[in-house]
Amino acid sequence: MIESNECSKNSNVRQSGEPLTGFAPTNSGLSSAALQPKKDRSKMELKFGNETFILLADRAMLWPRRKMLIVADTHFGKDALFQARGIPVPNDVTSNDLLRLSALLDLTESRELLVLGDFFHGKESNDAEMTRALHQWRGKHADVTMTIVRGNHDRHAGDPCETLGIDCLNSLRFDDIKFQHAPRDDREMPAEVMSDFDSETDHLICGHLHPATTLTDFDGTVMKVPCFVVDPAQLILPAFGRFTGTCAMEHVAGRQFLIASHGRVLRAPTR
Amino acid sequence: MPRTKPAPTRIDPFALGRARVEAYFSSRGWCPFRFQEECWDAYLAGRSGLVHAPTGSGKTWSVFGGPAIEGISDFKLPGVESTTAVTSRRNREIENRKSSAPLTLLWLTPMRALANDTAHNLDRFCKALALNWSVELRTSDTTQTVRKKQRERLPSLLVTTPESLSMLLSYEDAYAKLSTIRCVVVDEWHELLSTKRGTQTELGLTRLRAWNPAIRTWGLSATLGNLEEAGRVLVPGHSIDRVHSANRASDSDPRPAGEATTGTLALSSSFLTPHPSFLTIHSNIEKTLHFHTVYPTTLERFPWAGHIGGRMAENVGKVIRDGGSTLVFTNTRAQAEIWFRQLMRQCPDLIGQIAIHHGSLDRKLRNAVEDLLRAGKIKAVVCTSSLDLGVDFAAVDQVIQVGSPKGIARLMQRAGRSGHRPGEPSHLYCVPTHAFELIEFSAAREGIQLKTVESRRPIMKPLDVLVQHVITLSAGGGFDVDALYDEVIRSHAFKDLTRQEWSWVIDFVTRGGPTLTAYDRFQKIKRDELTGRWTIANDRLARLHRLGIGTIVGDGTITLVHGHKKLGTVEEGFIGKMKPGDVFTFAGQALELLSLRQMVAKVRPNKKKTATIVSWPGAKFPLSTMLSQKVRERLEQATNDLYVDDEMKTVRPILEIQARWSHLPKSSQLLIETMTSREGVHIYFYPFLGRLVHEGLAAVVGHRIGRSTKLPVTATFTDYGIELLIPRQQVIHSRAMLTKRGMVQIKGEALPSNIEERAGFSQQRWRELLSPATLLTDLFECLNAGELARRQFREIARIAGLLVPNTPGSPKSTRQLQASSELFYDVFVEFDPQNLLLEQARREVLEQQLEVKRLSSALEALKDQQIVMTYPERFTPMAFPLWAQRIASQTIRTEAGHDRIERMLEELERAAER
Repeated sequence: MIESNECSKNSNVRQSGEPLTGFAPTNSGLSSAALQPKKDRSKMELKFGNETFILLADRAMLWPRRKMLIVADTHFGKDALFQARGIPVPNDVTSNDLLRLSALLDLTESRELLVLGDFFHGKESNDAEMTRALHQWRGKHADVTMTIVRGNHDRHAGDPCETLGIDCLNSLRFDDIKFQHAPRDDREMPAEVMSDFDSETDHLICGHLHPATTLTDFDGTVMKVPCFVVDPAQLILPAFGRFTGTCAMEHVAGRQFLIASHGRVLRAPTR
Repeated sequence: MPRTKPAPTRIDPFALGRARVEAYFSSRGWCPFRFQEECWDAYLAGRSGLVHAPTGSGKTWSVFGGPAIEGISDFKLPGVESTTAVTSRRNREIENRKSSAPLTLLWLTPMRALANDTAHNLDRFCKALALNWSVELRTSDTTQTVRKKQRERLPSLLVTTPESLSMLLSYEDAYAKLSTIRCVVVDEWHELLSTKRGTQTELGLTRLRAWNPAIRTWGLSATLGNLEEAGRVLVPGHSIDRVHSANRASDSDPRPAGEATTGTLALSSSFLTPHPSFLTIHSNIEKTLHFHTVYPTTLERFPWAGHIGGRMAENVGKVIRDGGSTLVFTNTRAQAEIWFRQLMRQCPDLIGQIAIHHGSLDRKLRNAVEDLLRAGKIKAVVCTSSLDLGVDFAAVDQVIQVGSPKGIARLMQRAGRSGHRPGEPSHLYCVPTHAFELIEFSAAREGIQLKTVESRRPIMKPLDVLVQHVITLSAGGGFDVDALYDEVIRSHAFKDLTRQEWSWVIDFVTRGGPTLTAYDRFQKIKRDELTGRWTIANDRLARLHRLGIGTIVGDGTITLVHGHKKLGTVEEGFIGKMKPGDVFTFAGQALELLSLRQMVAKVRPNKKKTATIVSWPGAKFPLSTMLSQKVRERLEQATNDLYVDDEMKTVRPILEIQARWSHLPKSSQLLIETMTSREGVHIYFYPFLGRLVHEGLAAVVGHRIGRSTKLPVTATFTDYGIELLIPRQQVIHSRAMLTKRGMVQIKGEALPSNIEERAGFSQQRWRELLSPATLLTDLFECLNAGELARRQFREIARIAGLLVPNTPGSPKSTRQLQASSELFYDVFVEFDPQNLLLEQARREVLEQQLEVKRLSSALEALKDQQIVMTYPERFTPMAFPLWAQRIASQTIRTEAGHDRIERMLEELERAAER
């Protein structure tokens, strides 16, 4: 429970306070903390391996040394696929995700974009209309090198149109940092993606799981929030796509959850 | 000879059929009841009707007799029918005697369990009458082979469910297959009436009537407060004639008393009515009900739900031992599991003689239990509403109701499960699980005596059901947009459907939404350029749609499997919290979870570890308004020291404690109790308006408190009252902001100002919080902000076909189509806020869930109530069940999911700054 800390702290306030006999309608804020200058919580620095990364609240990650923006599980065209299969989903989901990605690229002034798999949601996602939209989007970031590390959905969906100039690989490595779609222990992944990994020295950055963690409120309500999951040798990114579900991950010793939600990156309480 | 027998006005074309049915009755030593004959005559005169009869009064025959007589007479008398094309084919077939008649009688039942028995009985009747009808069953349990056969040829009499009717309508040859139907019987119509399944039935009937306007519809219903409305929903746009077979006119009967004394007289006058109209026929069978209450040896001081239960098991065991075969009704599946276990534990002599039956058990297990009971091989079955309906258990001698009866009609119906034969009395034993239920039983008995029974209101305009129906029809041969509008508005549910709403529905199924927001790649149904008819785009979509037909929405259900044996289903939410190795009780058995994969949980029996009881969230019946009013009357009597019966006398000590510790409210008073605990400040208030209204009231009051104080308030509600919990930490947080406003009153005395922890509200503040002014605005605010609409959207998304069922049987290709209803809700709110399904979710919450009309009149009534505020030291007998309820968690929060996350993150952030 989160509040245990606060209770003890606030019990001091209670002793000095006035007796409580009525409520007045007021809209003033809850805590005095709100008045203090706030630390910028929209990003968080993270040491992983020998590298430093910056986790961003909009479910993306920056590698400052290479000026590289990293996202996972964009699931572009999931709306289109649902529509094609007779399930109505609003149009603008994917275009909105592209706008978010553009904003991040501009904000971070990245030179490179790396998508850790599940770029498209499925076959019907990768159609002419989507390609047109991607071309338009790609044009805005002509000087950004773009790479996709393929994921399980990409196997069905196929790579994006070659003229887009987006490289598609099964995995990618920079020294001891390896990028691939699925985590190390994923059994459903084909062997070629999983090979080439030295568990002694390598550090893996991946997606696939759409990780989330749970927060328990004072009344026992459990809420799920997307997060980065950090183990000593593995970093899992939350899914970037808006129209994607999440999966609450188990707490394991040595594992950290870094919540990326509501414009904040915060360390989740360990239990 | 029947054919030549002279009649005053006309030859009776049905003489042969009548003679044969009469012969059958006399061969069994029976004589048709008058109401049965009235039904037959009315049917044969081409009329539709609603039969109001208790279970076990021969109601099956009342609606089967007419079509049977007609069917027998057909054989000798061609040309009676008006639909010639159909008839000639029909008679040719019959004359050839090569096969049975085409589909003639469609028999809809709300439950699969009921379908089995009904089909069996009807088949027996047909054989006995030498009627050339084949009788078959089609439910979701029907095997593939049988279904395949039925795809080729339907039986003459098909017993099925509303879902399966929709399924039949979704095949291309639906018209050819179903337009031969002459009569539709809707069994247990009262069960369907106020549900979306009822709407689905209405739409199905509308379609059948469009194909064959001469179709007759006959409903069977138990006692309802609004039988006439029930009839109007079943057959809209008719005038109503009432026939009372009993020698007793109902209050609402307009006929002069003299005329009402015999049913035949009434009937002959209605024969003179030029337009064949609709009849409500009341059976004259009065069942005697013996009502017993089982008293606990000592009453617990605190009526905690299920608390007394354990000790009562022995008393229940005694009732089972002393009586004949018994149905033990509980209100929830979890309760059934608990009671089954308790009975086994405390009455070991009954092991092997009792069984358990509820909706989550596998069909095969349930069938086995039903067969054992029917054969008299077991003494008792612990069950839920799964056995509420007319499974024909002639063997049941007595019924035990465990826990609150919830409603007078429900209790009557359950009681009617015993003494199933006409003339036999029913025996009902009521077992209270907490003290206040004694009051409910006392009140319910009075209700039964006075025959004041609840109404069930039909659902109006559920667009999700319409969307599903439209797609069903697009697969079943297609439709013309304008013609279908004219058809649909003939149903009761959609009689007020506007052209705009209809256009939206059509846009939604054709393009995903209105022009401006049309979805580019959406395809579901397409227009044939030549005929202008709309049909489903492709076979894959039709198959996918059929998977999702129906309006029953469970939490994602997980199938339990032991070896290769299916045990039943449990909700995903329950098993999702368990780890392999955990043990839970299911069907009275302790099961260990081995693995959980793709909606299948592997389990094995394990008796060593202590087991959790499976919890099934979902439908909990609210206490009916009528019953809660009667409970209030009883309490009012108690404040005057009037304890009218044994139940009330037994509960007296507890009511006296309530009065001593706090206050026992009169009907004109609203009691508000405030107390503090380690959790925070608890405020209890007791409007006695039933669970649904309380949910709305709790939401509004919680929202109003939250809005003005920025406090996260947790509200819990039961049928009696509402608890608002302001958690301690938060109270302390914001006390600086709370200014004193008026003195807090305790029974006329000023509250000493040193009672610090009592976050009291003044009388005036309560008047504001309970004010009916701005009710709708506030409700909309908390709906838009809150989780209520989001939760309600689950059902809508499922019915409207947004959620693709993910069952072990569904094709793998659907895996890419999985998305949660919450996700849908969120993207609709964000990207298509005008979507009418969102609007429907809000409307459903307002109208059905929160009963906004009742809520608003309740708040008006509260204005005149005297507010009595008390500050008890301990949880009072009335407060305790509410407290316990919250621990068992049925709460609503006043914050939206996003706001809550926001606040929790803020708290985290503050913690991080320290």
